[in-house]
Amino acid sequence: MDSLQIILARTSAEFEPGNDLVGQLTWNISKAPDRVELRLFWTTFGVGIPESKIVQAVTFDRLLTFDSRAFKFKLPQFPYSYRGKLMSLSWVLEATAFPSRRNVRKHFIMGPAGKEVVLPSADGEVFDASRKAA
Amino acid sequence: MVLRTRPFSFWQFVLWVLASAGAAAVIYFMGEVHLVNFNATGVLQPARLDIGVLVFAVGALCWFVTRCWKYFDPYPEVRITPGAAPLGSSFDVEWIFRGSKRRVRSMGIALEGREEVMAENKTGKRARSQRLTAPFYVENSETPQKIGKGHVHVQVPEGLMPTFESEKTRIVWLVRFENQIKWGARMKYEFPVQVLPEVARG
Repeated sequence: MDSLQIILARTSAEFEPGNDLVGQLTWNISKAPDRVELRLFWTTFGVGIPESKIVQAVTFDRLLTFDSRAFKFKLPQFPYSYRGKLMSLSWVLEATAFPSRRNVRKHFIMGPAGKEVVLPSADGEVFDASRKAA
Repeated sequence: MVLRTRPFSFWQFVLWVLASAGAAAVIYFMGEVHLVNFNATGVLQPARLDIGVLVFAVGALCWFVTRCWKYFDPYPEVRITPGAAPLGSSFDVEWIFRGSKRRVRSMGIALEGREEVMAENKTGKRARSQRLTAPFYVENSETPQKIGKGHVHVQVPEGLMPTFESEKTRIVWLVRFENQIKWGARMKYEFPVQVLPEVARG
């Protein structure tokens, strides 16, 4: 059975800004992929419109059907993973094999002391500012 | 970082004055015409269009005059030092009211951190883009004794999100000024501050 896996060197999925994100990308695919892309990005989700931003990416080519490649990314200082009332931000490592587009994702936390920032709820309702501005 | 506020510029004020004068002239002209007719015929019978124009002109005059009046409202000029402060540190907010300071009755200063996101409202027939905000931190500073001019020390909390700006999601920090003035509405001003990530310790 085809498989594509991201294996991090650390068992914990909690990282601090500036840490090295080290691991191995392994796959066992019946037809050798043309290339495999590994992307490091953050993504937001919640009641608002989601968005993502790729921070770093690496492409592996000249691949075998069963192979393994080491990778190392240096995490940026910002933005932190956070959970808010409206939106949350998560860090993701995603590998995609081409042309099959088989992909796998690994979510992790990046923040001070390796913790996600949880935004408290202050007094005040969710406010539609666009209505006021109109 | 010095932040200035002003309801509008002098030239905009001149524009509102001219607009007020125009509305007043329309009212005067219409009044004079009808008064001459009344003196001649002894009957006051304005056309519906005249009544409509008169009502519109009076409404416009009131609105233009209130706009002009706002030009004389006192407004704060704020200096925030340093311009960018890390979480867990503090900054100074100095302010001075320009304009008619004696009209300032009371004021309040607060540090607010809030989420701002763009969302799609799909409840109607067509999806409408809307900007939602939700505060996650509000800390009121002590009300200063001297209102016209003064400064406060504002502490930025630890363990929260620094300023973050992407296309559709923002974490903003701002100093909020609210003051009540004599013969005027409650004024609200927001001055954005740049909050940086916490400085690593040890």
